[in-house]
Amino acid sequence: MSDMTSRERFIAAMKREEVDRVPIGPPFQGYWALEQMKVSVPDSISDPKKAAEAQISIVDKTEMDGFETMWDWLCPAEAMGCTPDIVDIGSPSTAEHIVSDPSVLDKMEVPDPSKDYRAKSAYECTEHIIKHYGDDKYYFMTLVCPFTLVGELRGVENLMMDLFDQPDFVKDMLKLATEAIDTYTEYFIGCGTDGFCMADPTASGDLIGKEDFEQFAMPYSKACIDKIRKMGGSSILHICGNTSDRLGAIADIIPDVFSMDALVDIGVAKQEIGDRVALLGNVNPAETMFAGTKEEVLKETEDCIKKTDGKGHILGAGCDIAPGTPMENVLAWKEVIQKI
Amino acid sequence: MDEKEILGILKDAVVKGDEKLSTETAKVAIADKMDAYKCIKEGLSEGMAVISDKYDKREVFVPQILRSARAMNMAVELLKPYLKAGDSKTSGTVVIGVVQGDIHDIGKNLVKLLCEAAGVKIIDLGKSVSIDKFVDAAKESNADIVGMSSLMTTSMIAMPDAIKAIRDTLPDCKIIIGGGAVSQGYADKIGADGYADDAAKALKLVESILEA
Repeated sequence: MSDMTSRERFIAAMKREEVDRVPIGPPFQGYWALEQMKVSVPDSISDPKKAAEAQISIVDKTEMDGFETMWDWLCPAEAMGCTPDIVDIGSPSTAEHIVSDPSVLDKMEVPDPSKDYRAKSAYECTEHIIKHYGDDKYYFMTLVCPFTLVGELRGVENLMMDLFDQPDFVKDMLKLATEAIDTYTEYFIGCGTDGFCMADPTASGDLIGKEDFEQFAMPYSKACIDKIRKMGGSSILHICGNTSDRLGAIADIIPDVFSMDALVDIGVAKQEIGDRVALLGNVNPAETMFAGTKEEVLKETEDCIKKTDGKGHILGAGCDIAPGTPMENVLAWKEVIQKI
Repeated sequence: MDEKEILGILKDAVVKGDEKLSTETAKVAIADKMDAYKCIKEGLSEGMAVISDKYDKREVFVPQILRSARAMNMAVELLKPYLKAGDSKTSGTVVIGVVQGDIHDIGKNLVKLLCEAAGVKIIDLGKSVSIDKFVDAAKESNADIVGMSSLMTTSMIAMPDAIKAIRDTLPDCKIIIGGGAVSQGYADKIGADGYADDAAKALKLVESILEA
């Protein structure tokens, strides 16, 4: 038991089996790693080896058991025609949305990831990292879910209105987005990743209600996750906001792991769906990880692990580890898991 | 229909997010020579207050608020030409924007909608707003409050510097923050005067500051 490798530990936690200690596997920390190692985002895309080396340095320091080898989760949006805003630090976002009206959709095609410069870079970065660690670690690639991708294509505010005004149009967009994402996961599985972290921030429990979630987000995320499973990959599903009222629906999507926002009580999630999915989270990313002291991180992390008894639990923040987060606060996690 | 009935329908139309009903009723009110300001204040705005409260209780979500706001705004456009001078008294001025590096503005837009419906003057700086722009706009408008929003953890880093710059120029101006990336604890740590975790609470916070 005590001889578990990082990889064995991460897989055991994911399967909700016994572990020697809780694995560390925070989602969305790649941009923080780049910032720590002073690699700009444009450089990380043009030089995937440099990006891989930055992530390797951070993984060595923080002793993460599982981690992302791709963080450029929104790359399909650019491949589908949106203008991105790629800054030096932090996640690229969408500056201009492509689907100004339904007629645009008819002319759109499923993108080819092997021709997407950002996807190709993430592919190579993953290969470098896997070559370095081999069977020691657990690897996942972070990618957008269909509902959030549609929000990028259409604009979130427009999408919110479309849910009432033209639901069939929304479903057409979701079908295209699902096909696009399936094409990406199919492409990426070839680089040796263990699985995917599927992020759905626009399906946030603070943006849409449970009914809209079940109608517009859930079936399409589920299709992507089913596809990943069929290819032999694992899935971590991350949804932002307070999703306490729809935990059952989230478990019905059948991800291996649900990564939750700090707004959800992980103890409640453990009780409600802990027998169906493993849980990832959920130390407060802003208040504690970014702006808190090491002592605050130690305390909140300990409380968090107590709530799950450390079983079926992967330790991470409730959302991304933001660039600017002190290294000391992330290193605090090592202390906690060794103590418990 | 009497006046009370019309005001009730205007309110209901906004609650339901029914822009057809809100605009048709506004036309009836205009034909009946009803006071346009009263229609907005005691009809449409009341509807927004109901929806804002429901959002706070998680009974409705963002799509429903946006739909209600559309029903309200379309009726307001019809009523606007009939407003009299002096009608548009405001309770205060708020400069609002999404901090630099962040282009997620849906939360900020909701705060704007609810505040304007409640009669607060909003100066909207849009998204990815630089610190200088916040300071200049607050100075020019003699703002009572500056509201900053940040959805991405990447952009919340700019908030402490922005607070310092605004305080240096306008020591009496209150600074409030919101958005998915931040929290009450973060607001306390960086010395903001207030925090709200959703648009409905942001309106309550703005009103309590303006009343004080």
